[in-house]
Amino acid sequence: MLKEIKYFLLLNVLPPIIYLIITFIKVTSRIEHINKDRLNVFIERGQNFIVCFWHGRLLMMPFAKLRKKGKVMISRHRDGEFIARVIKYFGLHAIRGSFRKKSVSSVREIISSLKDGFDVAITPDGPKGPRFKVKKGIIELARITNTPILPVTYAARKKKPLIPGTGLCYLYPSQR
Amino acid sequence: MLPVPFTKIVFLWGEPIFVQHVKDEKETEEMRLYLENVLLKLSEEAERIVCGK
Repeated sequence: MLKEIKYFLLLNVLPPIIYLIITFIKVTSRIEHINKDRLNVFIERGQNFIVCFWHGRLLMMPFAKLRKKGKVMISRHRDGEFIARVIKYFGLHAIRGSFRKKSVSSVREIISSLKDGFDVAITPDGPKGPRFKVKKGIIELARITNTPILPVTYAARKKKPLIPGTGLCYLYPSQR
Repeated sequence: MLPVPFTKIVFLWGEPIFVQHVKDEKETEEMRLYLENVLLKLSEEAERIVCGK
Protein backbone atom coordinates (compact mmCIF):
# COMPACT_ATOMS: atom_id res chain seq x y z
CA MET A 1 0.00 0.00 0.00
CA LEU A 2 2.77 2.39 1.04
CA LYS A 3 4.67 1.45 -2.07
CA GLU A 4 1.64 2.17 -4.20
CA ILE A 5 1.29 5.61 -2.67
CA LYS A 6 4.98 6.24 -3.26
CA TYR A 7 4.72 5.37 -6.93
CA PHE A 8 1.52 7.32 -7.33
CA LEU A 9 3.32 10.38 -5.99
CA LEU A 10 6.39 9.64 -8.09
CA LEU A 11 4.41 9.37 -11.30
CA ASN A 12 1.68 11.94 -10.78
CA VAL A 13 2.79 14.58 -8.32
CA LEU A 14 6.54 14.80 -8.78
CA PRO A 15 6.80 15.30 -12.59
CA PRO A 16 5.15 18.76 -12.69
CA ILE A 17 7.23 19.81 -9.65
CA ILE A 18 10.44 18.68 -11.35
CA TYR A 19 9.34 20.48 -14.49
CA LEU A 20 8.92 23.69 -12.50
CA ILE A 21 12.27 23.26 -10.71
CA ILE A 22 14.13 22.70 -13.99
CA THR A 23 12.36 25.66 -15.59
CA PHE A 24 13.18 27.82 -12.57
CA ILE A 25 16.86 26.90 -12.83
CA LYS A 26 16.75 27.75 -16.51
CA VAL A 27 15.10 31.15 -16.23
CA THR A 28 17.33 32.28 -13.37
CA SER A 29 20.57 31.16 -15.01
CA ARG A 30 22.73 32.53 -17.76
CA ILE A 31 22.88 30.02 -20.58
CA GLU A 32 25.58 30.03 -23.20
CA HIS A 33 25.89 27.78 -26.24
CA ILE A 34 29.29 26.94 -27.67
CA ASN A 35 29.71 25.57 -31.20
CA LYS A 36 26.00 25.73 -31.75
CA ASP A 37 26.62 26.08 -35.49
CA ARG A 38 27.20 22.32 -35.42
CA LEU A 39 23.52 21.99 -34.56
CA ASN A 40 22.33 24.83 -36.77
CA VAL A 41 23.87 23.31 -39.90
CA PHE A 42 21.51 20.36 -39.58
CA ILE A 43 18.52 22.54 -38.82
CA GLU A 44 19.17 24.74 -41.86
CA ARG A 45 19.55 21.71 -44.10
CA GLY A 46 16.48 20.07 -42.65
CA GLN A 47 18.58 17.00 -41.88
CA ASN A 48 17.59 15.11 -38.76
CA PHE A 49 20.08 13.53 -36.37
CA ILE A 50 20.58 11.42 -33.28
CA VAL A 51 21.50 13.75 -30.43
CA CYS A 52 23.46 11.99 -27.75
CA PHE A 53 24.65 12.88 -24.24
CA TRP A 54 25.52 11.15 -20.96
CA HIS A 55 22.61 10.12 -18.80
CA GLY A 56 23.96 12.24 -15.94
CA ARG A 57 23.55 15.33 -18.14
CA LEU A 58 19.91 14.75 -18.89
CA LEU A 59 18.20 17.33 -16.72
CA MET A 60 18.77 20.55 -18.64
CA MET A 61 18.66 18.98 -22.10
CA PRO A 62 15.09 20.09 -22.81
CA PHE A 63 16.68 23.53 -23.17
CA ALA A 64 19.21 22.44 -25.76
CA LYS A 65 16.85 24.16 -28.24
CA LEU A 66 16.32 21.32 -30.61
CA ARG A 67 13.59 21.37 -33.15
CA LYS A 68 10.08 20.54 -32.04
CA LYS A 69 10.26 17.28 -33.91
CA GLY A 70 12.15 15.51 -31.16
CA LYS A 71 11.76 12.15 -29.49
CA VAL A 72 13.68 10.74 -26.56
CA MET A 73 14.57 7.11 -25.93
CA ILE A 74 13.65 6.24 -22.35
CA SER A 75 13.79 2.95 -20.49
CA ARG A 76 10.72 0.84 -19.87
CA HIS A 77 11.19 0.83 -16.11
CA ARG A 78 9.04 2.77 -13.72
CA ASP A 79 11.73 5.42 -13.34
CA GLY A 80 11.66 5.66 -17.13
CA GLU A 81 7.93 6.33 -16.86
CA PHE A 82 8.76 9.13 -14.44
CA ILE A 83 11.23 10.73 -16.87
CA ALA A 84 8.78 10.26 -19.74
CA ARG A 85 6.15 12.17 -17.77
CA VAL A 86 8.58 14.98 -16.97
CA ILE A 87 9.68 15.49 -20.58
CA LYS A 88 6.06 15.51 -21.72
CA TYR A 89 5.75 18.89 -20.03
CA PHE A 90 8.52 20.10 -22.32
CA GLY A 91 6.59 18.90 -25.36
CA LEU A 92 8.90 15.96 -25.99
CA HIS A 93 7.73 12.52 -26.95
CA ALA A 94 9.20 9.39 -25.34
CA ILE A 95 10.10 6.16 -27.10
CA ARG A 96 10.13 3.49 -24.43
CA GLY A 97 12.79 0.81 -24.65
CA SER A 98 16.50 0.11 -24.56
CA PHE A 99 19.34 -1.51 -26.44
CA ARG A 100 20.12 -3.77 -23.53
CA LYS A 101 17.15 -6.03 -23.81
CA LYS A 102 15.93 -7.27 -27.08
CA SER A 103 13.27 -4.62 -27.29
CA VAL A 104 12.76 -4.88 -31.01
CA SER A 105 9.65 -2.73 -31.05
CA SER A 106 11.37 0.31 -29.59
CA VAL A 107 14.29 0.03 -32.00
CA ARG A 108 11.78 -0.26 -34.81
CA GLU A 109 10.00 2.84 -33.54
CA ILE A 110 13.28 4.79 -33.45
CA ILE A 111 14.16 3.70 -36.98
CA SER A 112 10.77 4.77 -38.33
CA SER A 113 10.93 8.05 -36.38
CA LEU A 114 14.33 8.83 -37.89
CA LYS A 115 13.01 7.98 -41.34
CA ASP A 116 10.04 10.29 -40.71
CA GLY A 117 12.42 13.17 -40.02
CA PHE A 118 12.32 13.26 -36.23
CA ASP A 119 15.43 13.95 -34.18
CA VAL A 120 15.99 11.26 -31.57
CA ALA A 121 17.78 11.81 -28.27
CA ILE A 122 19.66 8.87 -26.77
CA THR A 123 21.68 8.55 -23.56
CA PRO A 124 24.14 5.83 -24.58
CA ASP A 125 25.10 4.99 -20.96
CA GLY A 126 21.71 5.05 -19.36
CA PRO A 127 19.75 4.50 -17.37
CA LYS A 128 21.39 1.58 -15.64
CA GLY A 129 24.91 2.30 -16.69
CA PRO A 130 27.69 1.36 -16.58
CA ARG A 131 28.24 5.07 -16.37
CA PHE A 132 30.19 6.70 -19.18
CA LYS A 133 30.16 3.52 -21.27
CA VAL A 134 28.61 3.82 -24.71
CA LYS A 135 26.57 0.82 -25.83
CA LYS A 136 27.01 -0.18 -29.42
CA GLY A 137 23.29 0.07 -30.21
CA ILE A 138 23.54 3.76 -31.03
CA ILE A 139 26.25 3.14 -33.64
CA GLU A 140 24.21 0.38 -35.26
CA LEU A 141 21.13 2.56 -35.26
CA ALA A 142 22.97 5.47 -36.90
CA ARG A 143 24.45 3.16 -39.53
CA ILE A 144 21.19 1.42 -40.41
CA THR A 145 19.30 4.71 -40.75
CA ASN A 146 22.21 6.63 -42.25
CA THR A 147 21.76 9.34 -39.61
CA PRO A 148 24.56 11.46 -38.14
CA ILE A 149 25.21 11.41 -34.39
CA LEU A 150 25.45 14.81 -32.72
CA PRO A 151 27.12 14.74 -29.30
CA VAL A 152 26.27 17.46 -26.78
CA THR A 153 26.80 18.17 -23.10
CA TYR A 154 26.28 20.91 -20.56
CA ALA A 155 28.04 22.04 -17.41
CA ALA A 156 27.00 24.39 -14.61
CA ARG A 157 29.23 26.58 -12.50
CA LYS A 158 27.27 25.79 -9.35
CA LYS A 159 25.71 22.38 -9.04
CA LYS A 160 24.53 19.74 -6.65
CA PRO A 161 24.67 15.97 -6.84
CA LEU A 162 21.21 14.55 -7.09
CA ILE A 163 19.36 13.58 -3.97
CA PRO A 164 19.05 9.87 -3.22
CA GLY A 165 15.66 8.69 -2.01
CA THR A 166 13.74 11.06 -4.25
CA GLY A 167 12.71 10.71 -7.86
CA LEU A 168 15.73 12.74 -8.80
CA CYS A 169 18.14 9.92 -8.05
CA TYR A 170 16.68 8.05 -10.98
CA LEU A 171 18.31 10.51 -13.30
CA TYR A 172 21.74 9.61 -12.08
CA PRO A 173 23.14 6.25 -13.18
CA SER A 174 25.93 5.99 -10.61
CA GLN A 175 23.40 5.76 -7.82
CA ARG A 176 21.86 2.57 -9.07
CA MET B 1 23.80 16.73 -12.53
CA LEU B 2 21.52 19.38 -11.11
CA PRO B 3 22.54 23.01 -11.55
CA VAL B 4 21.72 25.41 -8.73
CA PRO B 5 19.46 28.34 -9.67
CA PHE B 6 21.15 31.65 -10.53
CA THR B 7 24.23 30.07 -12.06
CA LYS B 8 25.94 29.89 -15.41
CA ILE B 9 25.25 26.96 -17.70
CA VAL B 10 27.26 26.17 -20.80
CA PHE B 11 25.98 23.89 -23.54
CA LEU B 12 28.81 22.51 -25.62
CA TRP B 13 28.08 20.96 -29.02
CA GLY B 14 30.44 18.35 -30.41
CA GLU B 15 31.32 17.62 -34.00
CA PRO B 16 28.80 15.41 -35.74
CA ILE B 17 29.81 11.79 -36.23
CA PHE B 18 29.01 9.95 -39.44
CA VAL B 19 28.98 6.17 -39.41
CA GLN B 20 27.83 5.14 -42.90
CA HIS B 21 31.23 3.63 -43.63
CA VAL B 22 31.04 1.20 -40.70
CA LYS B 23 30.93 -2.33 -42.10
CA ASP B 24 31.59 -4.94 -39.46
CA GLU B 25 31.77 -5.65 -35.75
CA LYS B 26 35.33 -4.40 -35.50
CA GLU B 27 34.52 -1.01 -36.99
CA THR B 28 31.36 -0.75 -34.90
CA GLU B 29 33.50 -1.27 -31.81
CA GLU B 30 35.96 1.38 -33.01
CA MET B 31 33.15 3.91 -33.49
CA ARG B 32 31.64 2.99 -30.13
CA LEU B 33 34.95 3.74 -28.42
CA TYR B 34 35.39 6.89 -30.45
CA LEU B 35 31.96 8.22 -29.41
CA GLU B 36 32.69 7.33 -25.79
CA ASN B 37 35.89 9.31 -25.95
CA VAL B 38 34.22 12.27 -27.65
CA LEU B 39 31.50 12.43 -24.98
CA LEU B 40 34.02 12.18 -22.14
CA LYS B 41 36.19 14.94 -23.54
CA LEU B 42 33.20 17.13 -24.31
CA SER B 43 31.98 17.08 -20.71
CA GLU B 44 35.50 17.69 -19.39
CA GLU B 45 35.83 20.67 -21.68
CA ALA B 46 32.41 22.05 -20.72
CA GLU B 47 33.35 21.81 -17.03
CA ARG B 48 36.59 23.61 -17.76
CA ILE B 49 34.88 26.38 -19.71
CA VAL B 50 32.15 26.98 -17.16
CA CYS B 51 34.55 27.11 -14.22
CA GLY B 52 37.47 28.74 -15.95
CA LYS B 53 36.07 32.07 -17.02
